[in-house]
Amino acid sequence: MLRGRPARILTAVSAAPGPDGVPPRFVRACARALPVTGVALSLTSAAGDLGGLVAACGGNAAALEDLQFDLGEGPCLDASRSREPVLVADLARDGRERWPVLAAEAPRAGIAAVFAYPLQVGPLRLGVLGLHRDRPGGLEEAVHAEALQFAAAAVALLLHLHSRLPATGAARGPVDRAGTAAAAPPAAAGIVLADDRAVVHQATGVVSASAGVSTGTALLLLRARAYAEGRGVRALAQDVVAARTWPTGRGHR
Amino acid sequence: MTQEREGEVTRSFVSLATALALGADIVELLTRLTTDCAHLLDVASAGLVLGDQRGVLHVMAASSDHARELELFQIQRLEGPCQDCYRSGAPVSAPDLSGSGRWPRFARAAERHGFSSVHAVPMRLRTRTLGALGLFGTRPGRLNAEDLNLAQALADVASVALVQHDTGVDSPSVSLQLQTALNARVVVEQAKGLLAYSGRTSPQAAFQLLRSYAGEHQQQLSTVAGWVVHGDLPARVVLEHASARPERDDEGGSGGEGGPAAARG
Repeated sequence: MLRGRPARILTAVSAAPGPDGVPPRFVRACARALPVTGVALSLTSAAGDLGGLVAACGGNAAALEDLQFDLGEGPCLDASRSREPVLVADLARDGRERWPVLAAEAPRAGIAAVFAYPLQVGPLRLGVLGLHRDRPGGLEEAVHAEALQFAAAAVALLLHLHSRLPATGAARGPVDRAGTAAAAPPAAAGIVLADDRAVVHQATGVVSASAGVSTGTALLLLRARAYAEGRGVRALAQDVVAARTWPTGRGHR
Repeated sequence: MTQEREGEVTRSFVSLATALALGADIVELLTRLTTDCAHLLDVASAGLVLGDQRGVLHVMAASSDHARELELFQIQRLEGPCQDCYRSGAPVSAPDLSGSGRWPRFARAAERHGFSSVHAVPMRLRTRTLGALGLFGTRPGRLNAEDLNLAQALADVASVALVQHDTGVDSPSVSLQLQTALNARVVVEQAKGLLAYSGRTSPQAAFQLLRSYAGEHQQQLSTVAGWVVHGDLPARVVLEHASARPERDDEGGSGGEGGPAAARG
């Protein structure tokens, strides 16, 4: 029913054969249609922070999301918060002042250029469509225009997935909610997440308990420690949760 | 306005305001708004569209799930009263679609589905137009001024809801269920980690504890997780609750026991 280019994109994606869901097919179609190395589709919180990866493909798309989450900075975050596309043709050169750590780290992960499109409807933030290239270079006007079409299609896709939620009201009573949440795979409402960083949030809880700080502070501590140790928050979080490292106090050890 | 109708209108606003204050899901709230419109106004059906950054309209809510209504809103991506209303920021009225050559495609679709009149009022935020509220009638005719004013007032409530959403996650404002679910997952995982550390157990075992505590106290898992994470419910209470749980829980379910205040004392 959706008309125009975004409709054709979604129709082609839905019709394409494949064992996996529509979001993975969507990011692959996007990577095929545009001259980019990788594509990531992420959800954001209402405030615009990265909330979870819906689907990613090509190059180091998932790593780019991780890096931005770990560092708390980057083009996708800025695009989401500012509600404007953020186009960085040469991250190492153009991003040095705006995202100093990311600009130094990302090129080592094969991420040289980033093009981030916010996914919003009215004033509501839904997510970000993040494209990257493994070598520097801007998007041509026509490519940018096509990327905007994919962003519009992504908005429609997220809204569609959101609208396929279970009925609201009585079905969302306390017991039911507890039971459903217990059984559910990583999902945000009707959207199954490729990655919801569960282990990072668990480690945040561990650090919060051991250091006696809020979860907000605990996440900052995790980020700082990971940065100091020169590795990702996820890797550190796995060790923390497995009690192989760090927290000491009245709990474990 | 008849007394009965006045009462219904008041109830509608109170219910919307309450949902707003309680932090209801935005889509649920907008759906309720369209249902109220269809009920209170002299129209058969109502729907709400919002524009994205490119000005493409997306259907957010409709008073009925019927594909016929949805199609009418979808088609307005190209032309139609909601589209015009969104572009101009002013109400648009088409009391008789059969005599209107303004939106040929839209008029044909509307007629096919049995609608003869359509009205659209803008959803405004100061100088910005966020979207439009569309009202469909099965008979030709104008909406009277009172109905139009009421429609605009309801649309303004919806705009307020959307703007509250925009102010951030910390205030008890409406949110997208998508984000509520996202936040719930985060807080549950955090509580698992916190309980696992405090109780020298695995996150999986901690999850079972959390789940059984929530179930027995008739609370949402994410609510209890939030209490644990914010220190309103000490980890020890959840842990001891599990270890001390008798074969038959004779003393449980007293109501207050599960609340954070009771747990503190």
